[in-house]
Amino acid sequence: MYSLILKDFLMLKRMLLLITGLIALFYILENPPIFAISFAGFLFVSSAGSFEDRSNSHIMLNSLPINRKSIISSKYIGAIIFGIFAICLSTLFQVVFYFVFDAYDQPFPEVNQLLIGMLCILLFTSIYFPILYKFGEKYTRIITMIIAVGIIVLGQIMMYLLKDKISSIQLFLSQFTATQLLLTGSVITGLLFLLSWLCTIKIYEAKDF
Amino acid sequence: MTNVVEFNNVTKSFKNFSLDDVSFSIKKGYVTGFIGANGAGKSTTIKLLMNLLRKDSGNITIFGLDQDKHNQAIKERIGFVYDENCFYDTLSIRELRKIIAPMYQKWNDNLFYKYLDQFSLPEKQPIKGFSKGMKMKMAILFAISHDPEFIIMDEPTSGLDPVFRREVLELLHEIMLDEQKTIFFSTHITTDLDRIADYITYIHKGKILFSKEREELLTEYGIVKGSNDLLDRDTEKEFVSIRKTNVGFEALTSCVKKTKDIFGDEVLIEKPSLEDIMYYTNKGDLTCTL
Repeated sequence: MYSLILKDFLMLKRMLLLITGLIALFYILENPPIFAISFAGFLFVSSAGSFEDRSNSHIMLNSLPINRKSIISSKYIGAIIFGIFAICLSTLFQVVFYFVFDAYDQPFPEVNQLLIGMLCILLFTSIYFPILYKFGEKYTRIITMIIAVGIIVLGQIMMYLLKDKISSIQLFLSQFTATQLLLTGSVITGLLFLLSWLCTIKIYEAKDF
Repeated sequence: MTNVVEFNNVTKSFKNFSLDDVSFSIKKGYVTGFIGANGAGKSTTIKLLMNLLRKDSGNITIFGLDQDKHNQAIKERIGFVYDENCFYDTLSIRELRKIIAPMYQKWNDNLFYKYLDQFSLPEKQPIKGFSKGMKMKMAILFAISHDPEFIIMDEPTSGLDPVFRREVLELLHEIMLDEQKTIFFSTHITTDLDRIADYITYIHKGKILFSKEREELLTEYGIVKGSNDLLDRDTEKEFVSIRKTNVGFEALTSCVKKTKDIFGDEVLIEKPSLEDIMYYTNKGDLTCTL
């Protein structure tokens, strides 16, 4: 398992440099860390998935003494590790920017921001991997595009349909504290992540190479 | 004599090709050559052997263990070489070693560096820039560095120049000096097998036609030459297939003894090459097996 995760980071060593640069850029532009973290996560997870598909590596990996379950699990664990890496990195940047450039109000990013960033990465992973391992890289690109556009369109439609009810929704949400909402969000994302993990294992175990 | 591999009634269907009820075994301590025309099912069989494909029915045991239940333990003892590079080509040999070595309990760094040196491969260069021969050497390097008992090779010599092909075969020969080792390798270059194979397994259109000792095979089969007058509807049935020319016919028989009984001294019977056997079988589409 250690080797499999190491492999993803070795494969993406250039990508990691690029991501570090991007997070720095986000900080220079004084964006909230949540964007930096989730964007870096999308980049990492989608590249970690697609390079496997592009090279013939499924054949090699499955000829080695490892189970298909471990191959998939390493991808999900890799996403979590990357999330932690991105959080550390963006905290580091904020510290640097605060003390060296005097740019932010506080030395550390807000925990909420970091947590939401992490949740975004997990959410993206949960959607991306089952699709990738079911349909392959080529179709996944198309499908994720459709999903992205779909979310925007659906959002617009919902906004239109719920126009009159927005205040009542706001009222409903304001009953809860931010922590409560975040906690609920974390639990739902966590469950979704586990479910997706199990699903992808099932998909991969049934696959022919 | 024990079998390293047993295929029992294995079936696998694709849209336009199927492997039908395949049963054969691979003997321990020998080199088995796996021959067949392009598209006959060689790669499919090897993929089934490596558990890369899910079989529709039947079962496969390797080292006496069920393939599905002991996947990891089996792979631990197998070295694999495929005809196309399946390693990450942006990584170097050094980086690949970091990834692959910890996966094998019996990984042997001494062996690894010995062969790395012998093959004179660059350790730090990304394998993307390697020639086909270098890539093959690298695949072999990773296949044998954990001292496997069983080596599976899918067309290891295809696309290589004659000098390098000979080198690969010599290396296999060296490995086989250890009598506990078994090699199964597919090829359509049958002359490779003349040098090292003890057993020949022949697949034709998704069916195993025979799996037997090479020497035995070459005494059972024969190339028959004679005048066209000898051929009629009945005698033609005796052959796998026939090639007629103006001066006479040339045919393959799968039972030299019977042919001798029928034709006596009227025909000339020669020892066939594996290529002859493949050529005539492909041509004749025979259904009989021995």
